[in-house]
Amino acid sequence: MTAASAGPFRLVEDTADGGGQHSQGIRFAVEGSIGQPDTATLQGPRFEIAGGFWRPASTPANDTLFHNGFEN
Amino acid sequence: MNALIRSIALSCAMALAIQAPSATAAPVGTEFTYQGRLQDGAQPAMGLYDFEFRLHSQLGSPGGSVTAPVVLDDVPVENGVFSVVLDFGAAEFIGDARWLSIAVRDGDSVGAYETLSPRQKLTAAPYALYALSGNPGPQGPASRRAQPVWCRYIHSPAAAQIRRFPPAAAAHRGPSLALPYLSRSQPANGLRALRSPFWEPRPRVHRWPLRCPFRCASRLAGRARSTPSILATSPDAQVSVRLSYAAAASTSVPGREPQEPR
Repeated sequence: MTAASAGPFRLVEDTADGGGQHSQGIRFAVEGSIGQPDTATLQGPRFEIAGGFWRPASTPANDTLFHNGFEN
Repeated sequence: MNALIRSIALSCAMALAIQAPSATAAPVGTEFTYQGRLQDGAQPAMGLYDFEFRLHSQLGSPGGSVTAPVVLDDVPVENGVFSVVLDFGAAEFIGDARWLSIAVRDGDSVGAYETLSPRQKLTAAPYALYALSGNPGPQGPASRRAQPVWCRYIHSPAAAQIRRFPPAAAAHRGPSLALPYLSRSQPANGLRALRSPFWEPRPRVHRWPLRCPFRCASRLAGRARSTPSILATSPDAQVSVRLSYAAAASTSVPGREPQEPR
């Protein structure tokens, strides 16, 4: 997938799924995506790949694949 | 023509890929994923949380849940991110709009959930719109071990007519078509009249079993034709059409819709 860009704008994180948005409660809030086909987590003795659009609120410092935790 | 003989209108608009799946292949199922990022107050949630997902027919509060909720206890949430698999079955996905509601509580809590709003609308992935438009999908390779296509028809006084038979059915090498006939009342009258031959060169009628006081099956077998044909049978007959190799026939039944096979 190629990151879309035009002029000063660049779309670096996007997903096309089966819906999803931000929902808010009093204490909790969630933002999510419905029906992503790639949300599985693969884990080996040393490495772990977390699939899907959503990444942790803070990018893990030890992300060895994606410098910003998300690449497209 | 015997006065008891009535016509039925045959209809079938279903086409199936006829290559039988591998015996070891598992079905896809009706699950789908939900992945998101949960905030607990001002911080990303961390730890175990209970989730309750509900499927609704409306965005607003009047729309009750259309299925039983999916309750997932002690879902691990790491730095806000969680992934779950939801399965509401397929019965409620019939083309009508659906919304997903999400409620959360602490994993060690047995108290009330906090329901988040608004409900999140389920939308189609872009190319799933092709499926929503009723496209039958590509024709699979022919196989003599193909899954049969069954369509059941209810007696109708209208003329029975198979208006269209897909060319693929006739063009396929050795297509055949079997038509079991079930009748509780007048098995002997089943499939008496066959106008404008549906099969060629000449239909063969097999009755099974020979003695059938309550239910009887007759079978016609032959080659399918791509031309319109008319079939007549006894009153109150229920007729099933099995297309052994290919695909579908379609016609109109005034005031009656084709029903799913039992």
